[in-house]
Amino acid sequence: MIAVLPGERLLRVCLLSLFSSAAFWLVIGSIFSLIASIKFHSPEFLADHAWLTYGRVRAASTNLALYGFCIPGGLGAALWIIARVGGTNLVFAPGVLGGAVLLNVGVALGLGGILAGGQLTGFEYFEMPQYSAIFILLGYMLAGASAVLTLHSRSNRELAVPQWYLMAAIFWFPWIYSTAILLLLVYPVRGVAQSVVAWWYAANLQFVWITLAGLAAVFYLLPRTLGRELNSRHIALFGFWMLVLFGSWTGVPRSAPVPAWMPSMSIVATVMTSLLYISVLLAVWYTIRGTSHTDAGSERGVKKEPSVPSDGSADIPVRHVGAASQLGAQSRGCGTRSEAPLPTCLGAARFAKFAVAAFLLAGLISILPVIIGRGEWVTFTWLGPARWQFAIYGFFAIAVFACIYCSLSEFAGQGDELPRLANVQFWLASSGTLLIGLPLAGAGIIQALKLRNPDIAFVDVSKATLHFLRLSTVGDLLIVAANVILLFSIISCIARSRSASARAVIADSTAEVLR
Amino acid sequence: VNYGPMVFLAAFFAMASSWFAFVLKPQLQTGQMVPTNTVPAGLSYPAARPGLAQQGLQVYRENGCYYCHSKQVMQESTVFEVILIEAGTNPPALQSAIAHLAPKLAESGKALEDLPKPILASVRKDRADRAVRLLTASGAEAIPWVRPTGPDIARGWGKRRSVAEDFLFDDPVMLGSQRVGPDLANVGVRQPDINWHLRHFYAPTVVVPGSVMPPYSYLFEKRRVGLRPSPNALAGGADLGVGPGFEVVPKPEALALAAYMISLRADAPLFSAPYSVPGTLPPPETIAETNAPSANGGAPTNAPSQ
Repeated sequence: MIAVLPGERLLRVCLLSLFSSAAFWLVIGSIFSLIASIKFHSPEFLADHAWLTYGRVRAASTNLALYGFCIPGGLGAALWIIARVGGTNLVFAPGVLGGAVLLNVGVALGLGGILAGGQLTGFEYFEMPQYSAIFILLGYMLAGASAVLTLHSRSNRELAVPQWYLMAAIFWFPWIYSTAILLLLVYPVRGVAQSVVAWWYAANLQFVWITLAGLAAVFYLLPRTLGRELNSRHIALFGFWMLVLFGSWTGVPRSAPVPAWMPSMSIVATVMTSLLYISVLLAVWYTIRGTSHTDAGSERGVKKEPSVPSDGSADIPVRHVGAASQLGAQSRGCGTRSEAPLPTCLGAARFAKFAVAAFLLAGLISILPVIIGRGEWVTFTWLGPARWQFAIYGFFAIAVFACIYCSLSEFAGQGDELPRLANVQFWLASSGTLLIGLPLAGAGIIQALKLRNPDIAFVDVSKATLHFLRLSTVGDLLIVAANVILLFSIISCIARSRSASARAVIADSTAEVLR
Repeated sequence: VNYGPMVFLAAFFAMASSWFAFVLKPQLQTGQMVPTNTVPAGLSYPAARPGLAQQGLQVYRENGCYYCHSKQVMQESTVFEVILIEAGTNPPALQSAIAHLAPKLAESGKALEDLPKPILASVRKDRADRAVRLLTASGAEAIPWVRPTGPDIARGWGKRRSVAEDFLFDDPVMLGSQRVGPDLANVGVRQPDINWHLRHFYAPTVVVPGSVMPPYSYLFEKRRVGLRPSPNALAGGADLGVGPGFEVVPKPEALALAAYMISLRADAPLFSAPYSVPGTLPPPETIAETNAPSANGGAPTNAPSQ
């Protein structure tokens, strides 16, 4: 059991505030996504009210997933990983708390604006109106500042792979988001330049940022749950370069009515990202298989401490010396706590493996059609939403879930029910992802092939996809259930840790009195 | 080694390169775009949408219509036809030229009947140019005929591909990413009837059987018929499921949206997306000796819509 230090308590409060708001918005967002999914095969469902029309419900679901869940959830996972790998306490914790408040205010305002006012910006995945976008940007920058300062105060100066990914992610979002706010909302550019900026922003958020943060979680969790080093660090760093170099150039679709070099550049970049997928596959495969042709510890010239029982031994000296320096002194190789294997009963490795599989599947969906026929034939089909489901939920969200469960077990102990909840949640979330992603991909391929043939009436093209869409509604239902379980786990953890910390406070104060 | 600054620089470099390529450069290239001219009529294109249609664009945005409808016509390629307009005064030379170009047509012996007549179809530009030179050399008058191809164009969703100019005056530009519903780039050409659009918004499945579009009944007011029926009420209320004694009157939003639909016409032939418009070529019988307007109105019909 990790000792509850003052710094540890601060980290707990900060992370739980981020994670609980992320889970809350995820539940709301998935309910909207369920409504949107039902509307496809029953268009008259809830159609009598402007605020529940398909366009607004769909915008609400995607934007809640991105700004309600991915941003705070990703920030929380990033803070947790940075603190653990760096073996340090959270720095500038008020920034995180204030950031969480601002993010929640921004998302709530944006949701209201989209649903009630119809104040969608008109750019997909960037629909939060200007007044709420400002809150989101400020909230992110506050929490991000804390992440940067925490990273800076790390006791082990050498950066591990997850820290590379996270550092890039932290700086990436403010740049793209402020560009999009300025050039699309405040001083809108003219004509199709708007669409290009919007595509650029969407690709950088949904592909680059999401992948940076999600892969950091995977590259942190997998070695730690398996009790091994990441194998190999070089492959993972190669993937990092491929992602930031080529991922940021994707986004402009083949069909775009813009000068031809833009879609061509995007297509080349999309094909080049296959190097990223291959390197991730190799790194994860070698790590799971555990063959160590390079020992990451010795490679960095650091002698690994033989079997320091980090749990028990960390407890005693920490009381006397500062937490950070002690943890740093204990193992210079990489932070102590990153060495300590996570409890396997939570299945964090399983979460991480599924996340990687979904990531690769999303990559396959985006690259294969480009290689076969330049991607023209699948634009405007359901393959896009299928890819979104795999990338955002199957990959990113499930990787963040694993971080959430592991941090919960560190904060409040596992108890009896946490492993059970994590288990049920994993199966619901993963089967839900597959039940949405695979039917949508099937619908997309059928739609693409039928749209190619002008003799097939358009109404028949849509009819051919209906069965797949019905199936995906079942998946949406499972995902709502999975998200509710996540929210319940976090809330019950907060309840347990509050009673535990109350007991600890009482024990501390009585100890003072008794001595 | 402390790699922190290096990671920062790496991310900064990558970010900056993509920012220059996909934010700055597009803005420099297309952000200062000005209206262009149609080819060959030379009229200014595009014209701004009428005020009501501009309000309709905002209704389109507010209801997230762009989630289900794209506004991008794709074009696979461009093929050419060669059309013989006038036989000229040297039929034997022309016959031999046609025999060289299209032996089958020449054998049928009807090559010079019913002019104008396509001599070659679906050829590439170089071959069409050669054929036109050959026919012109024999004293005939022939022109190449530009025809964009692709599934979208075969579906009648547009005459040519969409280009940047089509969206010059739109704010925001909503190009769409999915085709749950049909492409709307030229819906005003396909369906110029405002009443059709209003009825379609109110009850899509009645107007288009099998449609998956949700009804937008909240853009309408269903009310009891007053002393006299409203002049704006939708026609054919009984089909739309409106009971007797009631009428459905479109709200201003519905009228604006319908006006926007009709204003969606991106079919002007441009230099960057050319195609030949029927009507630029006067029918042979109307090549009159007088200056009087010809039977079909005479005016070239490649004037820009709107």
